Amino acid sequence: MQRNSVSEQAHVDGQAQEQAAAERRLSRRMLLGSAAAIAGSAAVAPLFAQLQQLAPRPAAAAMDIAATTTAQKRRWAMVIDLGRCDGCGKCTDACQATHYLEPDQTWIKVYPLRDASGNEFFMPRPCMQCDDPPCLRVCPVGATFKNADGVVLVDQEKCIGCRLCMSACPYEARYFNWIEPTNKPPLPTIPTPEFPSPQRRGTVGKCTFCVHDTQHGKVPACVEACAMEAIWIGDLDADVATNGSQTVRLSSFLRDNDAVRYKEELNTGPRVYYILGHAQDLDF
Amino acid sequence: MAVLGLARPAAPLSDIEAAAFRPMANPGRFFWPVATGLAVTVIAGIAAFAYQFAQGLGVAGYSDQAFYGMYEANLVAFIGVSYGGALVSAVLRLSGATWRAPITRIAEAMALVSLLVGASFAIVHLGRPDRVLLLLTSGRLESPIIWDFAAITTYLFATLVFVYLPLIPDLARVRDRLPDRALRRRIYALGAAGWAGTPDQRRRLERAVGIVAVLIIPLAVSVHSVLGWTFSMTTRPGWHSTIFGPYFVIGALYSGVALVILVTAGFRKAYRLGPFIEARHFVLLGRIMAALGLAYLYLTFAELLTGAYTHTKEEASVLAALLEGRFAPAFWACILGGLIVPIILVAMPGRRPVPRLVIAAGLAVAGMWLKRLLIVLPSATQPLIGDDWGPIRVTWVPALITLAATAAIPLGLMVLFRLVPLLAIDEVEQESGRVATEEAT
Amino acid sequence: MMTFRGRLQLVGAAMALASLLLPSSIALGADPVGSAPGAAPPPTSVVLQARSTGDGSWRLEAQVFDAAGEAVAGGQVQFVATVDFLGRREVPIGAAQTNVSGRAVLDFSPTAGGVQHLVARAAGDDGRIAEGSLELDVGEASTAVRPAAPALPIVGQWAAPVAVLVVVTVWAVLAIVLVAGVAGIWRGRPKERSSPLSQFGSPAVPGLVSGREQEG
Repeated sequence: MQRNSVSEQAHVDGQAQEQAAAERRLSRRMLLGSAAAIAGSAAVAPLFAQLQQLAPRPAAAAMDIAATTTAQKRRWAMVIDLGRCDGCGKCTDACQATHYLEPDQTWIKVYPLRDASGNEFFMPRPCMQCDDPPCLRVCPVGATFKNADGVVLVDQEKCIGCRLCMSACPYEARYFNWIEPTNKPPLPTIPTPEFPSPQRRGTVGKCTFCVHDTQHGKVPACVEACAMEAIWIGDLDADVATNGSQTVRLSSFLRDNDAVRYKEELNTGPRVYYILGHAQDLDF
Repeated sequence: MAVLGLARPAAPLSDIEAAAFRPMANPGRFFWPVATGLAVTVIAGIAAFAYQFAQGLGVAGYSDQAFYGMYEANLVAFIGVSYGGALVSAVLRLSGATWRAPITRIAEAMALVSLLVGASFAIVHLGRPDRVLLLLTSGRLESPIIWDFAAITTYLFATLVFVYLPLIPDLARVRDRLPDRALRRRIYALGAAGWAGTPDQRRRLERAVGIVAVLIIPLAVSVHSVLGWTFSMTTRPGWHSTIFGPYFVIGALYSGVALVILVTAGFRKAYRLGPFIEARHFVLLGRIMAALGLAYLYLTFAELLTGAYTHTKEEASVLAALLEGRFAPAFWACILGGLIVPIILVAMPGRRPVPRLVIAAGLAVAGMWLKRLLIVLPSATQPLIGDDWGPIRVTWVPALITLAATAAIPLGLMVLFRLVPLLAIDEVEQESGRVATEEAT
Repeated sequence: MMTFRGRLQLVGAAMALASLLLPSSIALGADPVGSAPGAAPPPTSVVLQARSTGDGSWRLEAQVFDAAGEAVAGGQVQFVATVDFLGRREVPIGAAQTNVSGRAVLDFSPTAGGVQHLVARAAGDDGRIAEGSLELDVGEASTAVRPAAPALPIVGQWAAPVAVLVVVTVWAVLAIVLVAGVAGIWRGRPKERSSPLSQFGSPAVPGLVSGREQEG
């Protein structure tokens, strides 16, 4: 079953929706790592060809994966350097522009905080893409799920809008579509969990680590937009991270900078690491 | 307009039967104005829901920093008041309290109606109510909302059975008063399942009702426990508490008994049931209510004590808002007006207890509704990072829907008692030990 | 959840077959223009090799030669791993200086598995860069950061079936009680038609309907 059954969903037809939802549920395991690539593969074919030099690819049919640029499974993580963040909010702006969000929907939100010396510092908070997400646990219909690369996604065709995930998330990282979205992509797009635009009224949305971009070799919007190069996107399996210009070995980068995670004691296993600046702590 | 035309009885109606049939045959001149007013309110509420369904939950005043509010509180409150039925019909039955006989039908019916109204808020609060069937087709057992769904539907089934089975003898009595070949008679005969009052039938009925009475108590406990756990299965300060299961059950019982007092007083007045429902019934119910109120006060204290004493960072903010901050006026009004004053009113001596108890019960129901709001709102609006509390906006949509739900309960009961007798006649007969001719009132 | 691990290893295995432990060297075009007298000759080629030192570690050896084929001593060699991670990127692994025989050695503990594309780079004073590369299959390397273990696995296994069983049992009991109770009452009814009414005094007169119950 190919992921292009998603395209049938564009027609807001209850029957097709129910059936497509059932079909996708059955085939989700096979398709998560490559899913939306089918929709975008045509657009990124040149990039794809360029990167193919790396490896001889086994027969695509055998792997049941469409044209992804890398067939490699990743374990996505983010590192945010709070010593560098100046609170400009360009990450939030870029994210909202990329995903066509409402002004209140700050999928990455920059919090102004005070450190021990009383100086102001800023903390960007994306979705933590937890290893053991509380939001996934409480979802009654399985609209929230984790793809093979560890990114927690929301299927807005399934979400019933109960908002239990919003109450369960300890990081306030989820945002609800309380009204019909006013900000929509200029061309008609088919929303998918990997790129839920336009969003559905009455469902929940959140940061996706820009999987629609990373699947095609682009860094997330916030990483790209950060003028201080404070946001790094990384792969815990390949042990590499980049902020767009510099690249590091992720494990040593975390160790050398004493990176911490937020609300570690809740045992959610967040994948976002924070490098603290002088006198800063995440003790709130 | 006659809802039920009774055949001229060759044997006169006993006064118990006369009272039980009174709403069916002669509901009085206030019935239609009151019913119409309530129906208009209910329809307005449905219209408000339709508006919300079209526009989205934003019109109900929600925002990302205030993602739970009145609907979630109503879900707990309206299902909570249904517990009066479980208490009166099941618990009192199993403990052999025969004094409950004249109020048992009213209490059971109230339980059914308020359960239906309360469960509807589970749908009203959803962002996509049109997808509610996904709970069945792709439900995840790990989710507290699936627990809610399972518990509420099971309890609803049990309540339906528990209302119907003791109704069989009364349906038979109505059947017997209807002329042969009337359609109504056939319907009642179907419901009465051939009841003739034989000892064998009585035995079977008693056994069936006894089994359901035993079963319905853990079911009732399960429903409000999982409603409480829907909140405490998160790590939000104020919700992440171990006490919520028992806490919600006691709260439901307290508000449930209070509503039984209110509803019983209302129907007693409207249908002149004074000879059967006496002041002592209210006094006994009042004592039960007061005992539950004390238990609820204790649990409230216990719940707040650990956070207030240890003053950890997680709990401090919510506690301060509740006890001293933006929610303090409402909280203390609840404690005083919704708990302490009703208990005092019950404990006061006096020669005319019924008005006093009705006031106490009214304060209790209103106070417990507000208390549910105070469970939902502080933790839902509290900022987990930073200091910006969420805005609390009450728009006309949830206000109207809540009002409609409040109107739906008496309306549902009024309609129901046009169709089935108001009193459990056999039980009242047994209790009062008399089958006499109806007296002039 | 890890459904693509098998697929990943398919790719890794294909690549490993092609380049298992084969050092490859790339000789950049040598420019015979002489450098300043007395300075170290610029490196023109680097040969990169790796030896396993046991338990997942490797020793990387970069041999640096100049245009004349002589070893370059005292040169700085940068070791990087090239990865395809949202574009072609280079992860710095370390640096070492060449000894008198032109060999720079670096201990390398890979934290990612599969085939590593390693490059040793020596830069000369004239700005030219000589590179040697190596495809090294390190097999399964323990990842530096491990995912959290699932909580309470036994409870999680049994909780769902038990809960379903309880709910189904309760519904079954309720249904049986209802059906058996009503059926029992129905079966227990007296056989004659008129007798059910005898309990209540005289039977109602058929066809006679009064619109209202009489209030005394």
